[in-house]
Amino acid sequence: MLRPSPTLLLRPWRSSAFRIQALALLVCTLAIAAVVLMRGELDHRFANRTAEAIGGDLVLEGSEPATEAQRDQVSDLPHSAVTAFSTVLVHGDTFVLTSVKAVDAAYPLYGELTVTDRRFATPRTIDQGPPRGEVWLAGPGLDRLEQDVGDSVTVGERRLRIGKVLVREPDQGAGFYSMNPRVLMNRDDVASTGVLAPGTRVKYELRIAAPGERMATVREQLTATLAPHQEIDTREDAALRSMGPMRQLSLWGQLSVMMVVLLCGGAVYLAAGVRSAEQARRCAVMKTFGAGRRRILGQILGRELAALLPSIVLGLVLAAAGFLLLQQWLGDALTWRPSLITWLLLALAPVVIWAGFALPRLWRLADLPARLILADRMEAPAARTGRNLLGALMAPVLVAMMLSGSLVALGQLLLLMVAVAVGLPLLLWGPLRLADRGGGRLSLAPRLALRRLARRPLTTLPMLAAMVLALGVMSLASQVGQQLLGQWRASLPEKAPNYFVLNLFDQDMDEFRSWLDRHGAQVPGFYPVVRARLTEVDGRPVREAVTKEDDDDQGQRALNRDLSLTEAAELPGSNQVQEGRWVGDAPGEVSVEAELAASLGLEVGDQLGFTAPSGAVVATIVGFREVEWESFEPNFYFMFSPTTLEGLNRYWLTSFYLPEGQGADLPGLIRQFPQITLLDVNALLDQAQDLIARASRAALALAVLLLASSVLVMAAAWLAGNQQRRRDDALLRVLGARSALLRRVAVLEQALLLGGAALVAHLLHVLALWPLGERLFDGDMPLSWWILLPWALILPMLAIQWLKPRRHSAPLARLMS
Amino acid sequence: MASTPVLVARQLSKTVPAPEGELTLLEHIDLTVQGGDTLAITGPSGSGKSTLLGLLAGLDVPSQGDVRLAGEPFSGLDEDARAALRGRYCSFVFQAFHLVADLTALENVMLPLEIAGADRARERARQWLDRVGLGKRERHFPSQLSGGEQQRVALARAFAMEPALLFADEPTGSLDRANGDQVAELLFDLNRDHGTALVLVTHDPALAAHCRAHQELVEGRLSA
Repeated sequence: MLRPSPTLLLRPWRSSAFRIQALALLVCTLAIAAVVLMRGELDHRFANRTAEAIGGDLVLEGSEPATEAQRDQVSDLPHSAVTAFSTVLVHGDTFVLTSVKAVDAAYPLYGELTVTDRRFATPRTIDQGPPRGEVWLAGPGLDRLEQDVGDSVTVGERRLRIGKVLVREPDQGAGFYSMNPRVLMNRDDVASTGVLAPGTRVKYELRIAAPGERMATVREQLTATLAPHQEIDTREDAALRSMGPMRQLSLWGQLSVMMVVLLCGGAVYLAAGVRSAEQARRCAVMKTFGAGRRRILGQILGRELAALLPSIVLGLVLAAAGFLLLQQWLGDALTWRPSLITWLLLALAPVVIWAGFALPRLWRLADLPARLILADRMEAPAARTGRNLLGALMAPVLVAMMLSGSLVALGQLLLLMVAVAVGLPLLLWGPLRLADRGGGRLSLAPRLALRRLARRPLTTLPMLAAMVLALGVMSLASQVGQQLLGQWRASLPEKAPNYFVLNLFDQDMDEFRSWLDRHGAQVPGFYPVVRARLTEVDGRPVREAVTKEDDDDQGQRALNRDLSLTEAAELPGSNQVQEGRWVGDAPGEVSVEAELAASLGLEVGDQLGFTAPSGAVVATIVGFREVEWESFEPNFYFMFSPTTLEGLNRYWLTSFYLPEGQGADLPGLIRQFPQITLLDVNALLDQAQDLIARASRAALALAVLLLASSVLVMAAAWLAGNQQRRRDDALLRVLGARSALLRRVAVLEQALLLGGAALVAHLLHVLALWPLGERLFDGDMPLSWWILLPWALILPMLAIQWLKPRRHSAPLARLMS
Repeated sequence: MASTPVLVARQLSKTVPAPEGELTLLEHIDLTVQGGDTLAITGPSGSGKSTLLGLLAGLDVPSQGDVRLAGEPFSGLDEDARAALRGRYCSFVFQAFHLVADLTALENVMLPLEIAGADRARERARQWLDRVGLGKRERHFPSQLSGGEQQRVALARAFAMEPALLFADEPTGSLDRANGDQVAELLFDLNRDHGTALVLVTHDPALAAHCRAHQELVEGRLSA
C-alpha cells in the first residue's frame, strides 16, 4: 500500500469539493471548541464553588440580625455573622460608593481571602478578615480615592485605616451592588460609623457550615423559627439560581453552534457527493487491477481524512487563541485548564461530523461494481440513501451530547435544534411554493432562476433558512450592540433625573432640600420608604392565599423578599391607573402595580397585610397601576394613602436632575449626609451599555460563524448543482442564447436566494425589535440603517457573480459528455 | 431559379492540439443541404460526427473552411452573433432529449421562442405540444414524462421556431422500438409538413434509409 506522502496529501486540495469540506470542518471545529472551552470556564467559575460563593452551606439572611434562639440552634456548628450594606467612602473631595461586608472573626467559613500588602504587590492568601480599626479595599476603590495601604478613609462618622488591598474573597458575589468597589471591615466597627440606622437597606447573614446531610436538618430547624423578614439560602439553591441565566445563555450559544454544525455537515454532505463522483473512476480502475475493498477504502478514505486533518488542527488552534482572549473579556485570570481528554474530544468532533455526513457516500464506492462506474451508471440504490441519512442524523446528536454535558440539557438542545432546523425551513416552504406558482408568468431569465431554486426545496430551504438566521442575527446584534441603548438614552427627556438618593432620614430633609435648591436641581418628588414583607391576604397567610411554584415568577420573588413600600398623595407622572382608582386621603388604602397584582392573583378590595421590623400595616386595595419603569423616577409596586405608614421606621428616597457643572459639589453633599447612597444613573447606564456591547460582540461572532457556514452550504450546493447548471447553459447556447442571458440567469438565481433571505431577515429584525419599541420607545420602532447590513454583504457577492469571466467551453461537447 | 441552400460547408477541416503534434478530426468536408432536404450522416464511433455537427451548427469554429447558414457566413462572427444566427435558423433534437429539468413541458417548448424574443410564445408552444399529442401534459416536468414523451417534447421544441434546418443526433437512440418508430414518424411528418431541412446523425440504417441523401463519415472524411 502506498504511504501517504506530502504530495499525495496535497493533491485533494485541487478539488473545489474537497476545499469546501475542509473549510466546513475548520468552521465547525472552531465553533464547537469555542463553545466547549467557554462553557468549561464559566461552569468552573460558578457551578463548582457555590458553598464558597454564598459563604456557607446554609445562610440565614434578613433585614434584622438572627435571634439569639436561632444562634443557639447552630452553636455546635461553625458559623459566621456578616452584615452587608452600601455606603460611600470619602477622602478629601473624592467619594466612592462601595459594597461593604462587615465580618466577624470566623469569616470566611470556606475558602481564603486573596490580598496584597500594597497596591500591585504580589497577592497572598489569608484565612481571616480585617481587625478592628481597619478596612480592606479593592483596587479600583483605592484608585478612585487615590489612596494606598496605610492611608485613612472616612466611613460614615469614623476614620478607619486601610490595612490591605482586597483582591478576591471566596464569596465575591454578582449583583447590582457588586458593580461597586468592595470593602471588608470588622463587624465590631460598624456601630461607631453610624451608617446604619433604622430603615437603612442592610442585609444580615448568619452563615453556617453544615456539610452533607446535616444541612437538611439545620434547614428544617431554622425554617420553623423564621421571621417574616428572613429567608434561608443553601448551596443547592444558589447553584440553580446563579447558573440559571448562564444556563440560558449557554443553551442559546450551544444552539447557535449546533446550527453551524448542521450547516457545515450539509456542506460536507453535498461536497461529498461531488467528491465521490470525482473518486469513482479511480476506484473502478483500482478494482479492475485487483485491489480489494479494504485497500480501496484505506486509500480513498485514509488519504481523504489525512488531508483534512490540517483544517481540524487549525480550527483547534484558533479556538485556543480565542480562549486566551476570553481572559481579557472576563477581566480576570482563567481558572480552568482543559484536560487532554477535552482536547481529544474536540479533535474527534469534526471527524464525527465528517464520518456522519461524508463517509457513507465515499464508503459505497467500494461496494459498487466497477462496470457500473466505468459505464457512467453510478445510481445509488435506495437502501443506501437511508444509511446516508442515518449517519447524517447521528453525527449532530453525538456532537450535541458533547456540547450539552447532560441528558436534560441534551433534550432541550435537540428540541430547539429541531424547532429551528425544521421549523424555519417549513415556514419558508409556503412562500417558496407561492413564488414558484406565481413565477410562471415571468420572462425567461427570472423564471429559470426561480425554478432552479423552487424545484430543489431540499437544497434551497436549508440554504435560505441558514442565510435568514445568519443575516438576521448579524444585523440585530450590530444594532443592539452599537446603538440601541444610546438611542434610547437620547430619547429620554432632556432633564430626566440623573441621580438617585436613598437613605435620607427625617432630620435631613430640610437641609437636603436647601442643597437641591442652591444647586438648581429638579426633583420629581420625595418618597418615604418602609421595608416590609407581604405576609397576609384577606387575613390568610400569604403562602396559603397565593400558590407559586416557579421561583422565577415575579409574584414568587415578591413573596421571598422585603419590599419597598411608600405613600403619596398624588399619582406619579410615570404611573397610570388601569383599574379601580388612585388612593384617597384616608389612611389604609393601597394601589398595586398591575403586573405584580396579576401575578399574585390580587383583586380590588383585597386586604393586604405587611410586616416590617418596626410594626405591621394593613391596607385595602383600591386600584391597580401601570408603571413606566424606564422613566428614571422612583417607582413602587405598593403605594399607600398618606399617613398609612406613619409610625414605622422609614428613610426617604428621591431622584433629581443636577444641571451640568454642578457635579463637583456632590462630595460636599456626601460629607453633609454621610449615610446616604448616591447613585449616578449615567455611570450605571454606561456600565450596562458596556455589558450589552460585549454580549453583542459575542452574538456577532456567532453570527459570523453562522454566516460563514451558510456561505459554505451555498457554495457546496452550487457545486453539486454545477454539472446540471452547465448542461442547461450549454443547451441554452445551442438554442441560440447569448452570454448576457446566461449571466442574467446566474445572477438572478443568487439574487433571489440572497435577496429573499435578506427580506425575511429584515422581518425577523423588526419582529425582534417590536417589544423593545413598545416598552422603551412609546410604540415607535427604533429602526436604523443597521437593518440594511445584509445588503452590504449581498451586493458585493452579486457584483462578483456579474463581473466574473465566463469560461466558454464547446456547448455541444458539454451536452454530449 | 435555384433557391439558396439552407446549409453550405466548404473545405471544412478541424484540427486540435495533441501531445504528438496536431490531431486532424475532420478534413476537406464539403456539404450542401437544400431547403426541405433530408440528409443522413452515418459513421463509426470516433469518426467525427459530433465534431462535424458542432461545426455545421456554428457551435465550434473550423480550423479551415467555412460554413454558411441560409446564405449567411458563420466565419468571422463572435460567439453571441453565431448563437443569434443559430437560434434564428436551426434547431436540435438529441439522443438524451436534453430538456431543462426545472421547466415544465410547455416552458421547454417555449424556450427557443423566448430566446429569440418571438411573439405569442406561450400560445405557439401550446399548439406544438398539441401537435405532438402532449397538450394535456403541459404542466408536467420532464421527470414526470416517459422517454418517448420527453423526446416528443424535444421535437415540439425543435419545431416551435419553424426552423429552416433541424439537426437530429441519434433521436431514437435512447428509446425502445415502439417509441423510436413513433418519434421517427413524427420527425419526418413534421419535416414534410413544414419544409424543414433535416440533417440526421444516426447508427440506425433503417432510419437513414428514410432520408433522401446519405453520406458516411470515415476517419474525418465524408463519402457518399
